[in-house]
Amino acid sequence: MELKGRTINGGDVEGEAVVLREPFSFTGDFDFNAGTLIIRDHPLFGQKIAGKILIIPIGKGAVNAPIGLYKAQKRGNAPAAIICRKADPLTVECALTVDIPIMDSFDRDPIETIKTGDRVKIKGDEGVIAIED
Amino acid sequence: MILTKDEESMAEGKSGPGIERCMKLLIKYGEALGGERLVNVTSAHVFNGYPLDLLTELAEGADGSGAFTTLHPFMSLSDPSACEAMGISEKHYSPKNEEHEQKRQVYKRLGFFETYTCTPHLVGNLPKKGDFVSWFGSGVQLVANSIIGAKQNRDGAVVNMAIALTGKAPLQGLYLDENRYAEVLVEVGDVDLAQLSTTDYGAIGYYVGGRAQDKNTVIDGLSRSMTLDQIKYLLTPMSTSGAVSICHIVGVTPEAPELKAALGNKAPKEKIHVGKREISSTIETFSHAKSEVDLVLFGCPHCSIQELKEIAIGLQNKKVGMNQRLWIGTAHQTYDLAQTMGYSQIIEKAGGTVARTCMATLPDCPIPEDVKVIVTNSFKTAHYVSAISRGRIEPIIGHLEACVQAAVTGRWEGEC
Repeated sequence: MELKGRTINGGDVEGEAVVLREPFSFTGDFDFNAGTLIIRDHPLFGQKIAGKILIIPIGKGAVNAPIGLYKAQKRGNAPAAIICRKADPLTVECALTVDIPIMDSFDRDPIETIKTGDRVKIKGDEGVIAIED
Repeated sequence: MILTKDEESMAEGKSGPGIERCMKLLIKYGEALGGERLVNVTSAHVFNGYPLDLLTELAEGADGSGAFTTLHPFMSLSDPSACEAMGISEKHYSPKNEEHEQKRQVYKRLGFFETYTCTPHLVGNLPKKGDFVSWFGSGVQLVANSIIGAKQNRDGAVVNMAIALTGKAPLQGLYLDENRYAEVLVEVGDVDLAQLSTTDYGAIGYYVGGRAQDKNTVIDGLSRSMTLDQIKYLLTPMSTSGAVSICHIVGVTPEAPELKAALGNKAPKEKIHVGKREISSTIETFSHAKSEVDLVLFGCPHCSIQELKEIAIGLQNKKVGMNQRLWIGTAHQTYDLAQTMGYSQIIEKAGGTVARTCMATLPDCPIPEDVKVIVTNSFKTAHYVSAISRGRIEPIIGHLEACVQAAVTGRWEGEC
């Protein structure tokens, strides 16, 4: 299955999806030393997002979030790409800081369509993400 | 995005690889947010917590800044002149200061002004109404938009640095007049305006931030005779309990000579009433009937020279209690003036510590274990001390004079 959307920063990557249903922050919800989610009382607490495709409705958080993600990338702990239902300015800045693909505004809701663990292929330059069956 | 020839050449790397990277980032960022072009930025105030490698990469090849640029305070306590008095070990501050020395070399090359304050407008970085600016610090962003009338977005730390280095920013968000009007109307009623204390103003801001969240706001019904310090305590908590970026104050904000101008001649989408009940219930969030006091904390945001004067007056011929600490954060330029005026000598002779550093990240340093109760005049401080210490430390809110009194007697008498 394919979803068409808007590419903000392009590139082709593939990886395993990690899907969150809540607004996400690289400052409060992410441990850049471990590359894992640290959202309290969340079923995905401890889930690794390093090298994976992070799928979120929208971002939130403190203005130093891009620095946290930069530190994560230096340790090999950044996600491979970020897919948003609607990208907020701070999440766009985060992705651009570490130069990973970021897309939003899809023809189908990525949160409802993609499940954690699905293999996802990002074809950023074509504005397409493909979910493998 | 439509670019000028100069902007194109910057984006092609003619001004060095750092500027190229900054321009490409700003262009993609601006396109994502619907910006059709870039504008020239006159004033920047930048974060001082970049890792050295990121700062070096962004500034590679640049030998100056694109806008008048000042620096935010150290994000850890690293004013060595104050560390000993505050009981902070050299092991804690020394490595941070070593890295900072290396960053200073970059700042010097770029011509960034080493202000190290969260109140750049008080030390010479003062834009005009309508100027496009990029200031780091959520509290002072509110000052830029709401008091000065300069145009400021809630930029993240990297966009903030890219704007300072290039002097360019995408035309979007609060840079556009049509996005600056208020949606939330705050009506202040059933209070005696002449009797409102600085603590009351802080309570109004903290209450409004929690309700307005990130929406543009206008406050009607306050007196134009508020001092800049009172306005500072009114605005700052709106970005602590919420994420308000612009709060028009009718009669004070340059864009809000009257209410309908702030609302863009439209009806507000939401109304919030603030009166006696709202103010007192907000103060009660951080209040305490009577208590022993361990630490009295001023300076988040940085104390103005007027506040240092008031603290000095309160401490004249007095001593901070044997078991109490009094810590005050301010800009080093303000500290110099306070010395000229004799205020810092009075405070220091009484046993207080004036640190030229950031007080917001105080819990980042080892607050002495025996500190259980902190008294402060700032809702922002109370909020963060409570959140970051995870309840280990109890903050109490009070008026400046009452806080100074508590430092001397070691007791909070329940009068805010």
